[in-house]
Amino acid sequence: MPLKTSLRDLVEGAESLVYVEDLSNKKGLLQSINPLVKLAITLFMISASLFVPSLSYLALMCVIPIVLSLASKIPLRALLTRTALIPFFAAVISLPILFITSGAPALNANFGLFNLTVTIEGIQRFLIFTVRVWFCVASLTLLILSMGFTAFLKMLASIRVPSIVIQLFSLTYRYLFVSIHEIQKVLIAKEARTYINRHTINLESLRHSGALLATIFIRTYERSERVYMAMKSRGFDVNNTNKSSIPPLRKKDLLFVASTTVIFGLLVVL
Amino acid sequence: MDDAIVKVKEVQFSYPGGVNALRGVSFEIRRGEKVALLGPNGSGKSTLILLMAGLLTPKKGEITVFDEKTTSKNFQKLRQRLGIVFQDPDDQLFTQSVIEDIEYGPRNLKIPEPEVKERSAHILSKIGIQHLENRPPHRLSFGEKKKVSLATALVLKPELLILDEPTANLDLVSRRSLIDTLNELNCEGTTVVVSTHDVEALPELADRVIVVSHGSLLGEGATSDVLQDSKLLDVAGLEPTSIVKLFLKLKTMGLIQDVPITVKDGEKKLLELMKTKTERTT
Amino acid sequence: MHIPDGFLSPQIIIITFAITIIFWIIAFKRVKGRLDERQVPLMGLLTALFFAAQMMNYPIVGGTTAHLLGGAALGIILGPFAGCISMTIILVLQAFLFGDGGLTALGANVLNMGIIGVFVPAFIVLAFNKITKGKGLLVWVFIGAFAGDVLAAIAAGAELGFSQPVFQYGLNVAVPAMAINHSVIGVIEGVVTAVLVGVLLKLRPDVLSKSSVLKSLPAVKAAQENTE
Repeated sequence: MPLKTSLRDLVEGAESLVYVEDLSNKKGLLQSINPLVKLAITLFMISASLFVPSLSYLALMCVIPIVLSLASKIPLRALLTRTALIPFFAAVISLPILFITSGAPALNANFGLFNLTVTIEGIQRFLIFTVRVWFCVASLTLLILSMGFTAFLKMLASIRVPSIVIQLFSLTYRYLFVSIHEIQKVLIAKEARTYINRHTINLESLRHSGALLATIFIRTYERSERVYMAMKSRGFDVNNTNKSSIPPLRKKDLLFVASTTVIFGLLVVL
Repeated sequence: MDDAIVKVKEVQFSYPGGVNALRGVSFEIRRGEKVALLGPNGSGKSTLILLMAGLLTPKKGEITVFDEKTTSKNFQKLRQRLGIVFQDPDDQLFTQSVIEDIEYGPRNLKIPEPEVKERSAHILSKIGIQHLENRPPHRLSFGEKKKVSLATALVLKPELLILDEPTANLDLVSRRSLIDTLNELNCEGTTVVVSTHDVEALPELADRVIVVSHGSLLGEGATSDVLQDSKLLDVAGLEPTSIVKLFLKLKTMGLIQDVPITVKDGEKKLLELMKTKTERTT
Repeated sequence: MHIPDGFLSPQIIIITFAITIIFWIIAFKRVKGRLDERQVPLMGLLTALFFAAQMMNYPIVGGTTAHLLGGAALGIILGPFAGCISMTIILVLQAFLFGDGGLTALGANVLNMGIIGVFVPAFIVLAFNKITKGKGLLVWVFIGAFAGDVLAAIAAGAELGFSQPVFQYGLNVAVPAMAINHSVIGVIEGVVTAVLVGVLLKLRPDVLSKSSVLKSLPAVKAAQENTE
């Protein structure tokens, strides 16, 4: 594993989490909505898009995430950069569709032996898929950017996830940062001793990363015993865990649900 | 009532893999004391602390805290009276925010909600961390994490407070404020036990010192006595503070009788010495 | 292998969620019934560790990158049921924190990486452990981890293939594409997991004593007795 990319991956991951924490603390529209309602609406928007077969409707629907992000003080740039990769990937894998779909020819290119024809139906299928994927990714990204981790845990409690599982989620998020830090330390320490900076992988480098993982695994195991003792010393009891409070539904939430459904309804009727 | 709130009797302990952490250690801690367990890294101090808190079970021997064996079923009920602060604050802070971590203990012990709020507000202001209330632990500096760790233990209003290496890796300002807080608590009646290898901080951290090395008790005594006992410290792999070393030298030269251990006392002593000197010359 | 939203058809979404929810309930009941208090922080911290390890990408041929899935290691070390819960937590957080994998695709992603990718390696190691009495264990760990990844990829390919017309390609394209692509990751996963298990067995066999897959190994048993 090349050190530079590994460290960059870890740093980028941690930075992204911290960025989301900051955005979700802003006082915008989506941030003020009950997390369960937000989840329900996001699921509704994504599922509904699967049933929309028309390109123009899908394109029109893409306005919704953009408007919501503006109303929630989420920079458009953040939304667009975070939603670029997956639709791009979707576009790449569906490129052949342009040529293999039968229908009225739109473009024709002749390469001697090959005769490539792009059809109008092909373009439509290509665009429907890519635009739909963007809409779905944008809807999820808005949910992510407007929901901090505490709200996420409350959402889990609202859908009756057992409190012990919620505690596991909480511990995972808390110690994700500790793990990132620990892996960085070990990577740098190892690099300082070996001075090898390979850019490809081979059996040797894989063996190294396995051994590295084992080192961190043992440290993590030992830390978990200390964390257990710290929890125990403050009265932790597995059968008696504190229940997270469930955020109540307010008028504002209902209004949000109503307005989103109306907008969707209008789109379908139009 | 018996004055000793912690009684450690012939305690032995070993970790998986057969590492002998403790080989028969006995001592007592009395109510209201300020005691330090002094020893180098790996001496068994941390293990002793975990045993005293009932978080590990001795292989042989027994420990009683507040007249209850740490192995007994009832010991869980004593948790409130005993606060423990771990060396690494990342072990101690395991929830999503400072306030949640502080309220974790009181909530588990079923303290009524209004009192939980009242206690956490009080402790936040006492330690001076109100501004950190809603911060997640991964966005705190090391010094801030240490302060919050202390708060999570103090919010239970413990009669006995045990701290593992409290001054390790702290900058001078944080260290100063930590020592002041501990002394203030001790004056209010809390028994304070710290483990440390920080000889420099010893005079302010403890009145009595128990020296541990390689899992055995090497000796115990008043802080000033232990600090002057170069032999004892040497066996434990430690050495006296610079100020003690300096005055020990002056003592062997016959210039002074007793050795001061703090800078303040040292200064006084020096001034005295200079005064007598000038008097003699004039 | 994280399937995003907009790739799966409503039918596949419903079927994969149904299977996954059944597994969640079984796994939760199994784990809760045998839960030792110490395992709560242990599972939380190990889940965090494998989550962090997944964030690092390995460069593979042609400028593409791949990362570990971790399901094999978690299934073998924690046991398949706890491993399934642990992988579920990782996959849910990847979706809700990074948008890695979609919401409607969560059922499918957990089915592939949190169930197939966890149970297959655990069962392969468990079965061959019984037959060969612990001989050549690491070879079976490698095979288990490799098979787990490839089967998970084939399952993902099948889910995509059955999702026409929402997805563009049928089974004949989606399954081979996913399987070939992920066999490289399978090899990486296999080697790293085998080395991890091997090093742990050598250095600290006691940390494996809670694994239902490995606890019958002589080295782990001996270490367990030593601590008691």
